[in-house]
Amino acid sequence: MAIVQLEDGRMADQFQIGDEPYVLKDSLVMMPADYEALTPEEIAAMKQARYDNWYAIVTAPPVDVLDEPEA
Amino acid sequence: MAARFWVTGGTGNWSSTTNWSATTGGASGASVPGSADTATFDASSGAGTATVDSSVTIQTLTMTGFTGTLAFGTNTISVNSTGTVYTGDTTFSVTGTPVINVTSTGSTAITVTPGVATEANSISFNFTGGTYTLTFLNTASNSARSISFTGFAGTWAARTNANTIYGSVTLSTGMTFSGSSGVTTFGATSGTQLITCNGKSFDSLITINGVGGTVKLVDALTMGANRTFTHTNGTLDLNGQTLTVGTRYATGTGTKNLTFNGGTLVCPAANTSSFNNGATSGYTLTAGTGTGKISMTASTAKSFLGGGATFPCTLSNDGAGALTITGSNTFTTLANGVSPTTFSFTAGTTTTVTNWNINGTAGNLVTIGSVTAASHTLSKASGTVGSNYLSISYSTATGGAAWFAGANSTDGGNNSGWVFSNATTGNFFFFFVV
Repeated sequence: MAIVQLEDGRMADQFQIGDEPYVLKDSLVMMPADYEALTPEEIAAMKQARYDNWYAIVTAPPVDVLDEPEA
Repeated sequence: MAARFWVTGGTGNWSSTTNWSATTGGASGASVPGSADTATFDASSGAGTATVDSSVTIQTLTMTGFTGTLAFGTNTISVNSTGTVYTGDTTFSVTGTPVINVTSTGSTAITVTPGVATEANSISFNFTGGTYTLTFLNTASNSARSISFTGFAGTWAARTNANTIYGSVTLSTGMTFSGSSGVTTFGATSGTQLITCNGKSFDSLITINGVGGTVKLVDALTMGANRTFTHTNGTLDLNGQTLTVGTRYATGTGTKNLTFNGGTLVCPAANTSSFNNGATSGYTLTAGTGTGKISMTASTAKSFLGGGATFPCTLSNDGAGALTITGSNTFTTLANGVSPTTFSFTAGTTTTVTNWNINGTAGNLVTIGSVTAASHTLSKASGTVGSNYLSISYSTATGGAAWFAGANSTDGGNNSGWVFSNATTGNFFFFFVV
């Protein structure tokens, strides 16, 4: 993956985490100065937290919910 | 605190005392509103142009009944109070780059009611700090241009009414996005709207409905579990990110394009229309750069209603639940991420693939069948399919490719075109007679 500069001055650390079939493609988006203030461990922890939250959602047992009307 | 009312009838600068009064429609000459004052534009403010000739800070801004133009240029208006800090209306126009900064750093509740502005007259809002509860875009059909919550650590209160956003949205890591039953529509008709979620679940219904516009993900977007994503008009560019919808991804009547650029659309719900291309007309999909994927992850039965479209991506059954595929669709790749699982095709349909990457494992067969007791057709133009550990019934394999189900697969009957052995991989010897 890559670190890309966005037109609005922010940067995006694009990452891919997890094993098939549960792979999350996400980005850490912030100002470059904020990113540079983070340690590699903090960056890794942020990515792992994103993944853990997402994994819990996509693997949650189905619940019986009433479908909302489509817009 | 002083109240100030715009009273000029023609064009005037914000910074001029000749345009301000202490009462609505009153005599001009009052001081220019500052950080301890409120500013009001109303029906007595005339139909002229008020030019924000430098960035200003006031307590609150009220724009009700004003029929003129608020010309921002490149300047901004900051409101620093609490309570209702901005009230908009449909009656006035804006020019320039209209931005209102809500700068409270406290915890007292704030309300922003932009009004039902058109795309051209919509205003951007930045919520730059504070831990307050924000009521925003919760009046029917209210709209805004771009919205940024960078620095905001409060709660965006639940919205029960539909609203429209014509610009980009940036959520903040510290904020709370309350679950909302109102539809958030991304409606820009030109340019690109960026969505940055910063790890926050976008817990409202989402509709993409801007003819000619593009909505692009900057990072992963995850919806609430029971929220529908409706794609009606415009391009949705996954931009290499993961979009996880709630109840379903559905198409609406309009001209819409889904571009992957290596991104993944995850449909985790278990229902009869987890992916629903119900409005097939005007729906196109673009692979872009990289390999796109639609991942159906429910552990119980779910359906992919393809509508006969061409999907330049991988469709993968990534949950144990049976995946029912309706329509005669074309896929770059059909795959499974788990086994055992089931693919069930509507009888009478033809599913065309470039790659067939469906395999089970010992004791975990992948079932290939039809929804009813009649055959479906699988078509691949060339090459060899080399599967294994499948249990196949009511399946016609055709198109020109050699379809090897594998030596460990089971013939459940009513099949055609499948060879229940391993794909031929032996050496070939050629003898030439001269």
